[in-house]
Amino acid sequence: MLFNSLEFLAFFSLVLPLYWLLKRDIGHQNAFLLCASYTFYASWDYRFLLLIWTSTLTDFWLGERIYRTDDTRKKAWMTLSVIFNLSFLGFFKYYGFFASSLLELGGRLGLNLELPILNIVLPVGISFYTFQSLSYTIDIYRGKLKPAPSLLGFAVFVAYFPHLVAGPIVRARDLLPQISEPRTTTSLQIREGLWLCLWGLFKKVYVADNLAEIVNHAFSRSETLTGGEALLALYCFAFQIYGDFSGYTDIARGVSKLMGIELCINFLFPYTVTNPSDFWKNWHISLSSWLREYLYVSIGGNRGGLLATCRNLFVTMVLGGLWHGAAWTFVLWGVYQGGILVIHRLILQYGPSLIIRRWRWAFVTLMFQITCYGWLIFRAENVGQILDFSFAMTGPYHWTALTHLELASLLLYVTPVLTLEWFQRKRNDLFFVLQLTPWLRASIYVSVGWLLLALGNFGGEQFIYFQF
Amino acid sequence: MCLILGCTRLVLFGNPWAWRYYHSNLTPDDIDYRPHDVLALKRNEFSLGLYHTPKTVLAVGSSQVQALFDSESAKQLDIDTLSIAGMGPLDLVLYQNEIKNRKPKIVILYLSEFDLARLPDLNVALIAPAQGTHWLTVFKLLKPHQNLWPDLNLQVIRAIGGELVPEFKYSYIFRGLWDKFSKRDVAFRIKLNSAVSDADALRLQANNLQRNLDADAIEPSISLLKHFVRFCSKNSTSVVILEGQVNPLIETNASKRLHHRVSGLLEELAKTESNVKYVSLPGLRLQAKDFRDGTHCKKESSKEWLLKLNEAILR
Repeated sequence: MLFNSLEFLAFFSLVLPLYWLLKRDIGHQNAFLLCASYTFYASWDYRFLLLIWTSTLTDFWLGERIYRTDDTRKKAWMTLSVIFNLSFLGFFKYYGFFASSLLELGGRLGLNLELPILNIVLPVGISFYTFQSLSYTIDIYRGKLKPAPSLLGFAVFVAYFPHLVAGPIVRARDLLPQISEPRTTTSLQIREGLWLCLWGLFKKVYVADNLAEIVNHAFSRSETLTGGEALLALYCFAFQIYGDFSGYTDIARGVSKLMGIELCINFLFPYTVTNPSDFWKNWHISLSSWLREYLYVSIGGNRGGLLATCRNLFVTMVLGGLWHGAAWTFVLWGVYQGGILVIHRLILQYGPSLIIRRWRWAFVTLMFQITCYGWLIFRAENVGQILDFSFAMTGPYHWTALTHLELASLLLYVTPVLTLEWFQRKRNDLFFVLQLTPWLRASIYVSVGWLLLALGNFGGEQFIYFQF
Repeated sequence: MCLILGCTRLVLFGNPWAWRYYHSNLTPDDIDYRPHDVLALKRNEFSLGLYHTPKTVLAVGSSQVQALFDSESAKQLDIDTLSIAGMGPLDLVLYQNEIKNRKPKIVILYLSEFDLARLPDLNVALIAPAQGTHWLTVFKLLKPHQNLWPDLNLQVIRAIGGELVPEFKYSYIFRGLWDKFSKRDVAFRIKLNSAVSDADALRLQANNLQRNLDADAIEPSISLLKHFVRFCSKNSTSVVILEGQVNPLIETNASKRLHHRVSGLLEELAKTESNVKYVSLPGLRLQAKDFRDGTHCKKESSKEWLLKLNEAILR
């Protein structure tokens, strides 16, 4: 049940009024929310419910154990929680990848390894809810959080449908208090929620799915691309993935606002940053902050000098890359991201002090190119495609029908998003549209709605991040 | 907001010049044959009440009908045509009011297994004329055969949604204009071996026909057709069903069997419905030489065929 489908519209149109009707009793409301969330999840495959139930029950129980035992045994329970969650994720997401990689390596070394190849279907959203559950037990261990007062509340936290399958990865300390307390939806939340739903749908259906066709076409003929075609295809993909993922997050936040629950911001103008460090503070914020808080800090963070900091950054990003998918291209993408973060750190330490403010747009442009090359590694199906694009981008750069299409599409599909975001930045208000005069507001609603309906690609693709 | 929306819609959909512009600027290559034919209908819709003189006979059907009836001879014989690419029994139901508005005394249908043994494509519902509450009837007609269309509910919802939101219904126009401007077809074009001989083309069409023929589609097609002829009966319109055919060169044993079955059912329909006449005359049967491809008749053969039709029936 995709957010941009009629099924979801029907589902949410039924869920929301009933949810509001039950607002007098928080217990009933949470029970209803849980049933709705499980229905939403089961729409992919009802067997996945067993996994989410296992994860929920185990982490709820481990959270209690960690909280109630003395300091000496806390660590043992915590270790058990980490092992459980990572094994769970590892088995369902990475077993096939590691098994086939090991077999291939064994074959090359002339070893006859015997590993069963299991065709395990990747459960939707497993990476997201496993990380959320893990943050719950770690926060209890670190003394930042008390265990959830009830299993119901914890189950809602794990399975809450707006963020269940593709984030944002919400911390238990942010979401649990909202789930435990009676909640009302304010008129401001309704207005903001509706706007987020519209804008998120626009980014997905109008921007991402339209650009996806061009990107897919370019990647399908990567061996014959010219420099311009390859470069513009990467720009198209940069905005496709941004529209796709930030669109999903916007809808998730909007839907959640309509239910009176606030989810964290996940994207904040990520293509207007001047360095890789800022990029990760503005792109998939909930994941990067999770990695920083629970992985980077845990392995030492910046506490052991420059070399250790660089090593920790690198390891964090490689694992972050692997989190995205069980493929060597994602590991390579993690290496690339880790590499540019390390280089940035070294420049900060030893490089000349650059006057970024004065040359801001030059740095933004440079950073965008660096990011786009990273997206090539992310999007490529194999190393061959990365090489094809890389060679193509060395030239020639003549005008072709595909460059014409790519450039025209970038202008048509991306301009509305960049324009609106420019105003958001300028006014320092993500909801500035709601503050405009009625005429201007109506014009924006009509324009966005019109472009969405007339040129949106409603037969489009699944959200990219669902595969993670 | 309503004012802005209303004005936008008036400019885009509420005047004949807009439709004329869309029709003349978009070719079937840009948006496909069916949407292009729908644009032609929309373009003519505005002039229908003002300039159109009702003709006694209206030939309705797919591009086969277009090939047979769209000539000077047809005009001389006082025959009007309403033809849309791939028009099948579902379209007869969806376009029944358009047919009624042309006030014919006789509706001619040219039907064979080519029309009735192919599963109607529900995607056509979205770009069909506004149905209003008639959707309920259409849905009721299709519902017993839902196993043939797993996405029936979704398609009907989409079509109703399209009626409420014309921007969605006619999105193919804006996509077509945009694709034309951005030269999408050139960018996406894959070089094919264009030197396909006539024999190869025919073989390809024969394979396509074979692949698309589906005996399960006959039952829902007949029930849709029955609904249409009853609608005509209510409006005192007679229906003449001519035995349709494809190029004998692409016929197969399986298609011939389906042809006989369809003919039998149409004969039966003519017996049960008082306003229906089924015509299956050897004299009207076309030969392989009369076809320009697997399904469409040559212009010169159509003239001759029309004269024979006039001799045999219309006169």
